[in-house]
Amino acid sequence: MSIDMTYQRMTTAILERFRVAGSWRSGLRIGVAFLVGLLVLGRVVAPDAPTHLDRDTVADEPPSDVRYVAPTNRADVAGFLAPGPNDGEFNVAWIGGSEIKLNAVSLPGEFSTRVEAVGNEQLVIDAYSIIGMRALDTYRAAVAAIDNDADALVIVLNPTFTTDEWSLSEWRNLDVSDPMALMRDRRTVPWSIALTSPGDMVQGAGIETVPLLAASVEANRRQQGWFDTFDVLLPANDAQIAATSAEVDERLPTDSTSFWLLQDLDGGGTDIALRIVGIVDGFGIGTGQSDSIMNALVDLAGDAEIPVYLYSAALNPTFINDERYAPTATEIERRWARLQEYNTHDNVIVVPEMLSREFDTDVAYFDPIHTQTAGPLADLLVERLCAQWMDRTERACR
Amino acid sequence: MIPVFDSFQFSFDLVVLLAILVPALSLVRGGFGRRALISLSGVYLLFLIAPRLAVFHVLFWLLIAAVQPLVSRTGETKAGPWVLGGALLAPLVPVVLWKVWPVEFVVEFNVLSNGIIRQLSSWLTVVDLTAPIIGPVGLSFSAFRAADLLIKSNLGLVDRLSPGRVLAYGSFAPLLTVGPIATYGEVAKTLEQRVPIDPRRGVDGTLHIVAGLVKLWVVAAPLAWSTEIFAVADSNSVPRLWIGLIAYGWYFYANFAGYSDIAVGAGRLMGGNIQENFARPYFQTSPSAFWNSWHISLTRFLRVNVFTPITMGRPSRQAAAAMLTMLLIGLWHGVNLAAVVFGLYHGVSLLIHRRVSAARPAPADRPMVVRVGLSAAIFIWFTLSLPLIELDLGEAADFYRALLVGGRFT
Repeated sequence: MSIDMTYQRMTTAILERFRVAGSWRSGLRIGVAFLVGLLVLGRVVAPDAPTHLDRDTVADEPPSDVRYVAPTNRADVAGFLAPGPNDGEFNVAWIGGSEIKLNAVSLPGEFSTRVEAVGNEQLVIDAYSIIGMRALDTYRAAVAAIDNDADALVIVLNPTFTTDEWSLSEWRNLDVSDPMALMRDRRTVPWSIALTSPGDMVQGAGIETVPLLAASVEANRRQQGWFDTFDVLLPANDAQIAATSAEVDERLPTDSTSFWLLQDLDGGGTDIALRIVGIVDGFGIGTGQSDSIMNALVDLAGDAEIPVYLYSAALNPTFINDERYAPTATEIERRWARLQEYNTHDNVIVVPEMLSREFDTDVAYFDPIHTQTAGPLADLLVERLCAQWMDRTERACR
Repeated sequence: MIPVFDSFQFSFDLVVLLAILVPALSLVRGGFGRRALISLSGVYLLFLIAPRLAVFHVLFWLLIAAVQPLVSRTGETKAGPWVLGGALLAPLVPVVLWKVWPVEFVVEFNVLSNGIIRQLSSWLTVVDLTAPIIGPVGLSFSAFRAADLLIKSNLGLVDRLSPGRVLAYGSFAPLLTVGPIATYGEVAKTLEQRVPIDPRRGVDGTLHIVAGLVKLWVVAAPLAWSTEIFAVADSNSVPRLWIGLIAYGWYFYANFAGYSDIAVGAGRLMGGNIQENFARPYFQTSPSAFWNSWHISLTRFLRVNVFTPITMGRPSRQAAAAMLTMLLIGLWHGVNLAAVVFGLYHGVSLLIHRRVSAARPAPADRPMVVRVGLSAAIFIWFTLSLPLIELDLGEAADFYRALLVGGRFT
């Protein structure tokens, strides 16, 4: 029997033997029944909903109680999975990229070892941190944190991801986790249309309504474990890895930022200082889109009516004092000065100067952006943030 | 490593879009409106992958639209073959360049397409820069569809077409990324007039989509681990490699056929008459039956445009025609020695089968156990050739050695 005939017979059986789907109304009934069935099934067989504790993060050094609520990989569609604030807690959402949490180095972690409570409320920090957090990701995280009733926001923007070319999200799973986040402000609506696909919208809506999908992080993990029982292949062992190094063509790096930098810098894309200069300088497109996103972020923070502290990542003083890179640092601060000028909200502080100009210059850096220890910056921020919180809430840090 | 794109995301977006597209197409009667709707939906889905891909796609099909009338007009003249030959360069040169120099082509494809966008819109440029670096997704399928259109235009089987019709055919969303290579005739009707979505068409299309999803989720997804087999061959023993290769054979089929089924179902729901691309290939009992049921649209294209013109009804030419056809199927996967060996392997297999079956015709009523045995043999025979389209010739030789004696580091 040909494949065509098989489908014909099945179609005939559905239409004539079971007498369903013979009209639009019948088709609609089937669709509704399918959705209701999915909802019921979701409620009956859904695995436990995932929590922020399901995220595998490197333990902080020194140890801290910071809760990491952001996805740690690009397949995690649960998005910013906040645990929710409790009564009697001062809940701070600390939003930033690798400059606040890189392996064991954690700026919020260091902060939490210095401040125990705000007023009579215990300090609880939720870190919304993903590697390569761009301006639009930061905007999404701020939406999630405000929805989670945070008492204060601390937002760090990596200057390399605030230019027109690089201010947009590459974390497609975030499009799924909260497809409506970019619809709240007319300035981010065009990005929603460009970045969020019809499938993202449906999957996102499903996550809102079907527990089975909402628990997809956990479900994926379990499913993967179940599938793995079929996997009889052993991973490459050390001897094989040593003998056959991965064949990655230098001309085709796996991320788009590196690719375009490679074109722009003519082979200099691997030098991190040059990368930063290249990214900050951009390609001269100058649409003003990054300014628009950052303005939307300031207004979002302002409308939340909670204390918000917004600052640029503290670049390595060695970098900003090097005459080859100083113009780039100046350009970053010029952008932040513009943002400070734009800000008219009393509850939002925008810091135009890089904080690295103010703390111990002996701090060791891994590279132009990442410090090897977060202690000195945490000391400075204890002073700044506690002053702001005292001013806005009349509660002192303890 | 050549960047890949998420086929499932595209198919999922397509299926979701059908919820709007199918009712809209059932309402729009005029040809212009239908073609605009079909073109825009296809270009939008490509835009979601990367704006530069959408731009490249539109330019590609506008080029085809520019040469199609010329090919059609000169079809019965002496210059016809020359015009056709020249016109075929338009679709085939990019795909040949891509297959011969994959890395260089992908780099230039991204840079040049993005460069065009920079001339059009700074906003689009910014969106484009954030999109993953991609290969020219669907170019092979587009190239063969365009070539088929031009050849049929030369033969007078397709009339002179307006640019809107060519663009709508090229942009027919279900066919954009993973085929099948549907002919113009398979979508022509829905480009011109309203095609009622009757219950039979609706159920048939939906069943195809469900069948595709089942293949992807129930068969391919649990076997996805087997795609690692070529990277970890040296660390695995003979039994593990055989189990992995068998799993990969099923994964390869279910993944490709699953996407094809979704495309066929979506295309039929949109009013097209898209033909099947797979017909239970692993249940066939001979090489020729296998190739008549595997990637049917490609084998049909090559049969019509290569095999038949070469044989011209002469049995003496059939062997050469079959070898050339299989060679081209090999080269479809990449222009390299391994692909040539893939073509030769299957070409020789077809010739041997033809000779054996001519000498000893297979009885019509073979017992079930024999048929199952033959199907298993066909599966193994085909699966054993898959390393040739995944690896270069040296690596494939190492893999075959590992299948016999185990990996070097076991």
